[in-house]
Amino acid sequence: MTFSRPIYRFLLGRHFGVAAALAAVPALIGAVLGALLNTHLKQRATARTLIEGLPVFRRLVDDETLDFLSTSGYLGFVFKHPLTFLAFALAVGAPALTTPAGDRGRGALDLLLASPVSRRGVVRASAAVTATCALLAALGPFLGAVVGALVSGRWEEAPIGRYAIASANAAAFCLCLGAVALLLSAGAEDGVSAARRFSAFFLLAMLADALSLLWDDGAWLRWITPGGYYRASETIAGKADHALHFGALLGAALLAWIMAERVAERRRRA
Amino acid sequence: MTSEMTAPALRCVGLTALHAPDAGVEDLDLEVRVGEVFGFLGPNGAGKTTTIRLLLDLLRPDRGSAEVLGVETRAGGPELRRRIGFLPGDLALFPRTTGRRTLELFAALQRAAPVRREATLDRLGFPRDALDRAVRTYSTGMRQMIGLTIAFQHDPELLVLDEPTTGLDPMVRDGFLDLVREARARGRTVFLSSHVLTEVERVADRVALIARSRLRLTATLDELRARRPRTVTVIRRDGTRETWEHAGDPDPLLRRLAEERPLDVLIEPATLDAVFRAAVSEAGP
Repeated sequence: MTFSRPIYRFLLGRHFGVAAALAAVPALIGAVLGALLNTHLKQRATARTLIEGLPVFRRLVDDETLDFLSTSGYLGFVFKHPLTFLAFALAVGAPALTTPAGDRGRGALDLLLASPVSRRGVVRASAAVTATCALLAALGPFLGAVVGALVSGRWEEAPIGRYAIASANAAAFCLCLGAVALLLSAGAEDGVSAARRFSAFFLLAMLADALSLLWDDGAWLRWITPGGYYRASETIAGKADHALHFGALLGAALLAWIMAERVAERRRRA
Repeated sequence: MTSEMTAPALRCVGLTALHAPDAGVEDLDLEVRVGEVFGFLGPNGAGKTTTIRLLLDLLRPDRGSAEVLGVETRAGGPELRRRIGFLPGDLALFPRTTGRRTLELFAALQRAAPVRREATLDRLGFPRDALDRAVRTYSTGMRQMIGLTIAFQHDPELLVLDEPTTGLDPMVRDGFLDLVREARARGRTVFLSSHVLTEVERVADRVALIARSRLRLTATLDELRARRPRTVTVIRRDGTRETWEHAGDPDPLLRRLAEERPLDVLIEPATLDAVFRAAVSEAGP
């Protein structure tokens, strides 16, 4: 048996609280957006002028795909808010980078691996905890959109079903981020070096994704980052290619998990 | 009778790890018998911890092989490690977890009833009310006691203890040595790495000495002492005294003393410490 339930339960206990707190961040953003929605819609014409005058902002919020000032677009912004992305990265990064890399760096991994659990078992338990945190984190923006719809009193106009699909897309995105973090963690000597590499990966991926929106000739960049397959605007607008987006994210996550296990198994030092 | 039943508790042949993170080991040949307490001695940085890590597959060797309880270390995997209790030299627990939860976690991983947990905590004198406190609030000695309890609690066939008395006060050290003797009495094997020679001397059946990455000697304590010279001081009846060193067979010494009929004789026992220092010196700087 290569999956260790005791380690899964133990690691989940270590990280569940943080992941839940991070999931609350987009939920709060949603509540704020809901409270502001009616005010902004009353000033729609002025706001539209502002957005038209700020093409950078317009592109960043993907206004061409989904009208940012519509109810569905405005509440859907919670899926694209920078703090939401940060919450995603932290929620999956913390468990994946702590075990194995963090525990390896401070010596706790030796004690775990000297007990009847394999290196693969530890990586799998960490992957399972990361996946649980990913699902929890992805629930945050969905809750935010639902809370926003309730607070604004525009429940009827909110496409809850599409928000749910966008949340599932966010879960796939978080799974992919978490798997990359786990792969880096499996190869790193300690938590700090793993965290540095993951931060660099995350920032470069976000930068490439932003560039793909802002730079006409750089649209292809979206296809090389996980963010390129997390398309909340397209999903909420009903224009998303789910097979491509989910397939790419889950496929990359699976590949990274398999590679993480192999890296852990082949290391000279556990 | 299977080969596992007749095999030594630990055996390594030509075990080499030159690029280990702490200190390397080179061409290590070692055999520990079932049911003995084996002291693995050496100065800091000699390669003791590296050897233990190799034995437990926490580090992969450059060459050579290691067998634990008759099973090749790497092939043995989790099933082999169920039969081992381990205390690392640089023990790191989970700071926010309570002592009780830590012991329960490892009992669940060991997949065996923690039959020796209470007895171990009793022997070490661990305050029971502290079990429900987070490990980060513990002193170094208390953390070490939890580490020792993790190693002993499932009564494993083999105990691998790396610097087990670090941070323990003299009373707790005595309790620990009792635990080792009791484990031996139950037929368990104890592999005890230490640089605290006086403690090893009190419990070990045999010792090995490693210095500068190489095994320097393996012997019983009696063999070891016999190799080293004793300092003999004779006080004659005329008040003069003479001091010399005597090694090996005691018969010539006894004959000489019988002939001289001195007023008093002082024979300083050869301590393991002297043996240790001599062997380390022979290994070079």
